Amino acid sequence: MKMQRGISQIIWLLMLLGFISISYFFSLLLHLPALVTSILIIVYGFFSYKWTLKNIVTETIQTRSAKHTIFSYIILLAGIIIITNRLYYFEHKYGDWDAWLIWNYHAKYLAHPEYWKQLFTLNKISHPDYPLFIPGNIGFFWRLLGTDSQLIPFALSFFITLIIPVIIFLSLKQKNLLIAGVVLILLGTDDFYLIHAIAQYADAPLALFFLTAIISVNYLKTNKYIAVILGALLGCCIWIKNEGAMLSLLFCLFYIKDILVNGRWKYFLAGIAFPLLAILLFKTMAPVNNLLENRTVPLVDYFTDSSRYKLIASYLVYNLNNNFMVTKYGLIVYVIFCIVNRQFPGKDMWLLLSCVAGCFFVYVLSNQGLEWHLQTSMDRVLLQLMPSFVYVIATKLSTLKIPFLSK
Amino acid sequence: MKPFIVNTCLFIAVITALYFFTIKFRQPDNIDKVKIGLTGIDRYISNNSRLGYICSVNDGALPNIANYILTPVNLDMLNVSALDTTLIIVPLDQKVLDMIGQENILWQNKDDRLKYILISKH
Repeated sequence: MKMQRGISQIIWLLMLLGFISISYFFSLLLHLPALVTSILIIVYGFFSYKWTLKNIVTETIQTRSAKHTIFSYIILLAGIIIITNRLYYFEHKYGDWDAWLIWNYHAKYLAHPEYWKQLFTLNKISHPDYPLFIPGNIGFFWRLLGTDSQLIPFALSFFITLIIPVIIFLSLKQKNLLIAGVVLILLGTDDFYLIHAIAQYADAPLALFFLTAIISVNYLKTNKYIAVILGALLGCCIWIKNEGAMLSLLFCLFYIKDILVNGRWKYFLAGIAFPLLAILLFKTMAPVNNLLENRTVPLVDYFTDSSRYKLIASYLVYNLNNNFMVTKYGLIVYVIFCIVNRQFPGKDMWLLLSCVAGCFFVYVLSNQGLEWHLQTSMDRVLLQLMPSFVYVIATKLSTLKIPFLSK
Repeated sequence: MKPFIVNTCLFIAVITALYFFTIKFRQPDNIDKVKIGLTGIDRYISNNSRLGYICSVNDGALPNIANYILTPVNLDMLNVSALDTTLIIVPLDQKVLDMIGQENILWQNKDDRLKYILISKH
């Protein structure tokens, strides 16, 4: 089974972004001129696109009626216009606080090959241990263009904010156009999602790469080349944010059998090797994460402190009730659907619930002020998983048959 | 639908969106104001140097904004006394000479709200 062209092209773009940031990091390490890096990126882009078209994209087969195609086109255009229109009012040129305090700030160092290693000597408040997917992409284009224009981080953030609902729509539209359209419009009018995704933080990119991995894994059993993509996407998850390591690890645990059998592990390894090498090199240079150091209280004390669990649970409920209404009601409908159809939740749903549980335990073990930590990050951590939840729920609901739209 | 019509509509939509976003991008915000205030300072400091930092403005973001604008110069907000060159940002109505004494003013600028002064202790 091969993918639709639109999804494959988005995946190619994501892999290209991953390649740009990683190859730029290596070029800084090896003191390569920007021109050489650019040529490498163009060559990679060209051959990877050809590879994607050959091995990933499905042959053009008209599986749906012309009416279905026109409808899906109109809904997609309407969704893009709605999202663009709302982002116009929500975007800030420099992004929110962490954009210029962390991500774009790191990019400024990476844009200067003579000073980029100073990044690792920065104060802990600037988080010099944070991975370089976003700074690498922005830094590369800033250096290439000889400017630190805010248009670059804005364009990256805009692209990712737009692509998340679009890729969900594209992957659902063949199954159920109504559900696909509803999801597109719901995400496109979800102010919490739009405000946080356009903030130029790393949460939306992580959400997009993880979501794309979940979409791609559906094709793994019938196409061994998907394992390459899966490896690259999960590697990039770790390269985007430290939390990505936990998400990728849980993903591999859940799908270990699918990844390992029939020699697919070789393809998976080929995909993940490049990002993993970059991460390992980066981590040997960067200081230790502030969550892992200065631990004065034994872990056992945190584990056995019930008040911590209650506090985290209360924030989780608060976030679900106030910031993730679509996901909350979607989950309720999902449970009802499973009960009515006497089905167990799928593996993908258990994976996402495990990710939430994993985040929960990171908070339990946090050596930062817990309430401050929850206030400043839980909504963003949940945002990393929200698009995947929406996709998994919508995929389940898309098995509903609606006569008019199923033609 | 003919591809030509679809592509023309898409092209017009993208150009229109770009036009409106560009107009919005040209409107200055808080960071742009500090950026304008610090215009010209780069001739007196070299990249990768560390500056001491004194700010009497009650704005928690200001040091970080200045730091972001001046990068790859690093503002040292913790150990000012050890550094030779210091950036001072104060409100317009504040007397600065009392604060900096006889030290050399390398560069200064002001906007409608703040004074920006770069001093050297030697």
